[in-house]
Amino acid sequence: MKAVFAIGVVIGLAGVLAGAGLFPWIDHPRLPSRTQVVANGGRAEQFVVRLPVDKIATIGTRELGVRANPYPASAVLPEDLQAEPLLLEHFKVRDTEGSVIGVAVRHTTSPGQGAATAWAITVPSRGTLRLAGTEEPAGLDAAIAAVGGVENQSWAGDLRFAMTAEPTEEARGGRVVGGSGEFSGLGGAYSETWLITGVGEDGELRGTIELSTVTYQGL
Amino acid sequence: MKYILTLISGLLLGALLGVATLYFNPLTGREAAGPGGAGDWTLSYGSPVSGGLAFTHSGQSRLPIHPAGIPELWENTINKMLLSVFPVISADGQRGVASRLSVPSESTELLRRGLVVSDHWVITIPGEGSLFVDADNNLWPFFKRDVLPVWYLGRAWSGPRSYSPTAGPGLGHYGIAQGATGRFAERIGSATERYHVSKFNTQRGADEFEAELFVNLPELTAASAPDELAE
Repeated sequence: MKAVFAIGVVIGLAGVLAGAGLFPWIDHPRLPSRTQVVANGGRAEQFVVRLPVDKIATIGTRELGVRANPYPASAVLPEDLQAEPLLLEHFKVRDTEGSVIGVAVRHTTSPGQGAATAWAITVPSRGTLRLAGTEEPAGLDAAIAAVGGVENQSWAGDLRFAMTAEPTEEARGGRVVGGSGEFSGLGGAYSETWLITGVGEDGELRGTIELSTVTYQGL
Repeated sequence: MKYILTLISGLLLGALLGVATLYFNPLTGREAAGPGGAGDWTLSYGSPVSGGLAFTHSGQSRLPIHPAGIPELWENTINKMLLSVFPVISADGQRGVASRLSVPSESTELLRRGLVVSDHWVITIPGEGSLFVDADNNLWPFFKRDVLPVWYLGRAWSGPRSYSPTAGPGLGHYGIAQGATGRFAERIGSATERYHVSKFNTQRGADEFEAELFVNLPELTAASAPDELAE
């Protein structure tokens, strides 16, 4: 009888400890990665943001143009952070099939000439991909104006604007600077294109952001 | 029949011993060593729930989201994430902003690592540039001492308390800091965090706390590439 009781204690103790160590307490749903292998061994993947439905929060200073309109409207940047250009954007991110797969943070400031952008795209089941690039401050506003858009008036049309191009010998462009999880150790390049189909009277942008990445292991 | 009842009694006692072992397990209760040294760049911040610029989650948590109208992260692929946006200030008075995405880590297990949450930061100092920080935090000690007794057992809070939760993913249980743009570009180093919770309640959790992120970001060298920093 004592032996049976002791066996029960051991099995109960071992079962709980094994369960604590082996049970998948966190298991994020994972959708298939929409990646393509490129000719020289890299991996191409595109991430998509649909505006305005994928916006989570936008806070910024006026110098950075129509993209800096606050969202939600009550979002406010403290006065002591308004002395220099600053734009904080947060989006839900989709794959090319249109499924939401993660959340992206995009910070822009002007540490000299032009503006510099840092993206962190977090896909819970895969990790975080980090991007760093350059852009023209308020370049999108100038492009919208060039095709007939007027400030504080609604506009509809089709505009394809290259916010950040891939790096060239002349321009720094957009670079993949690594990441975590399955993006760890990756290098490469990215381009960021805004496809704008309209602007509301309140400055709300309609359209799509396409982030096209080509990554290589070990760079 | 007597043998079966005896076996079941043994199983129950063994399971209770197992739960007690997990609760008092020193492996999941250990904390980081703390800041790396005098060269650290220290960024201080307060509670993103009560004082930040934006805070959102799936809508299933009791923590209130803000500002009014901010969307919830309800889709099933992102509904375990927390997004916090808050101001930070360095020890020498530089002001900046941080966006932090917190995701429960699939490396969570309650025998050796604890309750691991991966924090992915983008920090920007206006006019100077941006940097990234990745840190795995073991929140088991915080859960055990604060969340479990106050939120789930209805007991009075027994704080204040301090925590050093950083547990990786870099070498020596440090997080990884990586420069992105401006004066931080091309630099890589380590980071660690320390929290001091001074008020915890049933509605807003850690309602008042002071936190510090210690960033060590020397010049990028060939010997400190991201892969070599990761464990």
